[in-house]
Amino acid sequence: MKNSGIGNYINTGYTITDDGIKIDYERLLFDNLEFLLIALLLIAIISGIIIDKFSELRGRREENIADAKSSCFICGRESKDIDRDLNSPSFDFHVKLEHNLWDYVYFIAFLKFQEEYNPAGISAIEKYVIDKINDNDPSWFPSYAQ
Amino acid sequence: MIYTYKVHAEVIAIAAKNIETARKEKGEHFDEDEEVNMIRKRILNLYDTEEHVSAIFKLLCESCNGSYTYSDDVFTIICYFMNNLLEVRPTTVQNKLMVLFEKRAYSQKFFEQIYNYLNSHCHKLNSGNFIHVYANDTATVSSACYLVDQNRERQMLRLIALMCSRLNYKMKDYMAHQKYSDQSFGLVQTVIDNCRSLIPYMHYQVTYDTLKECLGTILEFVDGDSRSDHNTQKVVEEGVVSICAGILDLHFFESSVSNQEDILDPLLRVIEHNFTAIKSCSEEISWIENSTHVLSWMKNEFKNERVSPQARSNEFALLPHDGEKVQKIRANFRITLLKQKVLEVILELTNSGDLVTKNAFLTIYSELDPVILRKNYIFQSEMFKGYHKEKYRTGLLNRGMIDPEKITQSGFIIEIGYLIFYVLIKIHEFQLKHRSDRRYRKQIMRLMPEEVRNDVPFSQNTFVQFTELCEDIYKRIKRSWSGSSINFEKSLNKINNDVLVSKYMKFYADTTSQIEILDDGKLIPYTFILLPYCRLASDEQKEEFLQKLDRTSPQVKCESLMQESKFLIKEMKTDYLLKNNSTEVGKILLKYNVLWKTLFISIIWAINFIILVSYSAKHGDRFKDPKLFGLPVTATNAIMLILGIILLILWILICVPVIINEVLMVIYKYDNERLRKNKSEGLIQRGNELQETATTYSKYIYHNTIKLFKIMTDVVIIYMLLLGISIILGITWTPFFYAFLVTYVIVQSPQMNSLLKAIWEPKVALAATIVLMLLLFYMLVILAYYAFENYYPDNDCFSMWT
Repeated sequence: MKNSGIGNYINTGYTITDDGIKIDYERLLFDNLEFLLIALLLIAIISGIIIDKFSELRGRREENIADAKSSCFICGRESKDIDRDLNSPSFDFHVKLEHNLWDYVYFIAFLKFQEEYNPAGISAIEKYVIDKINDNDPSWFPSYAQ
Repeated sequence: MIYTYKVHAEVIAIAAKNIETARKEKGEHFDEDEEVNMIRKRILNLYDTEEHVSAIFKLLCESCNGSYTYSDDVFTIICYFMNNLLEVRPTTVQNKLMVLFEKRAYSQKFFEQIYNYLNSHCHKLNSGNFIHVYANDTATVSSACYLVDQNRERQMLRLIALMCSRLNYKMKDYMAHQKYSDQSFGLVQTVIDNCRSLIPYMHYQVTYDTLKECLGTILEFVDGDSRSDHNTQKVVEEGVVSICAGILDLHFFESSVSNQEDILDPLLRVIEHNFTAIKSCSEEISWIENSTHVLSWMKNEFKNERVSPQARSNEFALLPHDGEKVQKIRANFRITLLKQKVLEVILELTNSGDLVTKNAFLTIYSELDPVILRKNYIFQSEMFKGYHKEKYRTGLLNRGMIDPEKITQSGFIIEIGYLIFYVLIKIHEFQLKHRSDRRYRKQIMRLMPEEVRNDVPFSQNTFVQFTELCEDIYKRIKRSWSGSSINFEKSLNKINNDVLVSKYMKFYADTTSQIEILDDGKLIPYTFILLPYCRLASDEQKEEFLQKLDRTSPQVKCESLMQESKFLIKEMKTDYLLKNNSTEVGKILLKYNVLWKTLFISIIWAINFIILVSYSAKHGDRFKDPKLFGLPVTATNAIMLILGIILLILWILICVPVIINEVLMVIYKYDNERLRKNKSEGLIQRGNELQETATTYSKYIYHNTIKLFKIMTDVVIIYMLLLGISIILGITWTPFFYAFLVTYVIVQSPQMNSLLKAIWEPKVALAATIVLMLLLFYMLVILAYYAFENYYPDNDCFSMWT
């Protein structure tokens, strides 16, 4: 406790005398106060913030992984529902080839390219999605299907 | 009859008057084509009224009324006029016609007329009576003039197609079953019969035009989702798949000359020699009308080089199977266009409801041999591969259009390859769903690339990149030595090699993708091209993107995907442009980024290890005399210098593109934010327009200053620059600066990175806590200064700083 904070700079509050050890209670209070506030509370707050963020990030990542495994990002269907449906392929196939998240991103990129460089070649369906994107309306995604 | 001519005369009179006025007004600057188009549009706009459509409809319907009859020409004129109306105002005219069809019983006469025309055409063709007309009058029968195309069958087929176009399901159903008829005229069936009759004579220009129109009409019948199931079912039953198989099985004509140049496919030559061959021999442009995006510029070329009808007939009306010469280039191009149309029809057949799709697939399995697909595919791929010299991705960008200056980037040539790939994908999906006909699936799967077969994603790692680099360098060296030549004969020999086909298919698998789009409550499968830069997204970029997405609900997920994707797209695009807009050497260097990163990290470890073991006070000067395992100081310094220079080069390769990308992203994000704000404050801004103009200059300076500030304070940019500075200082001053580079290893490791993130992300909270700590320190210092003067060492407490 003596070697913490300001106590490091100033002399100790415990003085050795012939009668024993003399304790300056004001200094004792000051040192304890400083130790509690700085060394315990604030340092703990800082490490707490960091640990909290770290676990939050880890939790978010795990949540994302769990979410990706349990449901389709694009249509929102549960993996068990898809696997149970005899008329559709497996969940893995579904998210990889039918509703691949990245394909939708690339499709938006493709539309932007068409809009910029090949406006004459834009088909009706492409025009429909371009209008939706420009209006920030995501209703062209399969998740909006009833 | 009188009314017909009245309408016609009126149209002609208006047209002539308008043209004359425009000619007088413009004098020398009168552009005939432009003006005629403009006037044509004006007239059609004028006629797109309830009254006129009704009148035209009446004329069409009463064409075969027993009380009076007018000539076929008049019917054709009206059809042509109606087609133009439908092209200019498709939806409104379609709706008006639908109302008329439904309300007036005599519309059956119109259908009867079309039915009779098409059937008599089939009959004449089948009995051989019509051949001499086609053979002799090719030019005149098919010639297009300003108002009327005399190819009546084509006019009618186009009329049917246009009425059904734009997914007009109501009209499609009506075409199959005209409800006011005693018996349906079954136009779907008639069109298919007509198509079947035309195939043997497709080398005639007129037949070819009509056949293409037939396929276009069939495509319109089956186009769309399960609402057009009825028509699709009928089309499948009537044997369209066998017609498609027949057309896909058509061989391209080859030259008898053994010259290497002539062994090359004529179609390839067409593209390769900038269409000069076509230009010199053709006038008729109707056969390319539907490929306007790809070939629109060609039209302009043709207009300037029209030849006389006699010259044309000599060139085109020739029979290939009689041993006479064939106009190869033209014929092959026609075949290509037909195959494209046919594949579009097959694709549409596979897009319907479950039951219909199943029937369609069963028919496809029985009619469409995988070998046919393979032959077509390999043909296109070989030409494409050879022609583009394996620079696939450059040409890909121009698939939908064509630039006359850069004809090497023609995308049309790969269209068939793409369509076959989509057909294969459809078959693959269907097989996966229903697991029927294992033998066929096995055959089809042999054509698919490994990734599609096993559903294994293509992984990019250092080793793969290294082997690709070696392969790439080898190919470039080989090409520079031998030049590039395509051996078509060799290509044909390779057709039987499925591994090869599979390899080329990989190209399509890598460059295309399919998604589902929700339109009007229905999920529509849509296949599109993956742009080159989309394939460049790194794992880190993807991971970062996924972290940013809001996953509260499926709808929110999609909204956030749409929002965040624009930044990722911009980032990928910039990255791509940086990599592709440099020299050949630059492109190679930037292409193998993963490899360079691995090398960079390895050298960082190596150089830091050398620093760790070489410096010691025992060897001499603790800062200046490093000795690596007994090597002299000079050698150790030289090793470190060489490694430092390599590090600097690698830093340029890795970090400079990142810095440029980041700068552009900062600017883009800022502009985007401004645009969003402006949109939300649009009304206010419009009101203050004058004030806006006065402050434009100051705003320009203000925004650029903000942008500069944002760039200068961007963490990634600062960090990358610090890395560069450390390397330079390491080379020029002391190697100890290399120690800072170890942080790059931390940044690159995902685990370490998450640790850094945990400190960096709550930066505001951490900074606030530190400020609080400093304030507490300050208060305690004041307290100590005031209360504990005697406790300061040697009583020298003169101020709070000492």
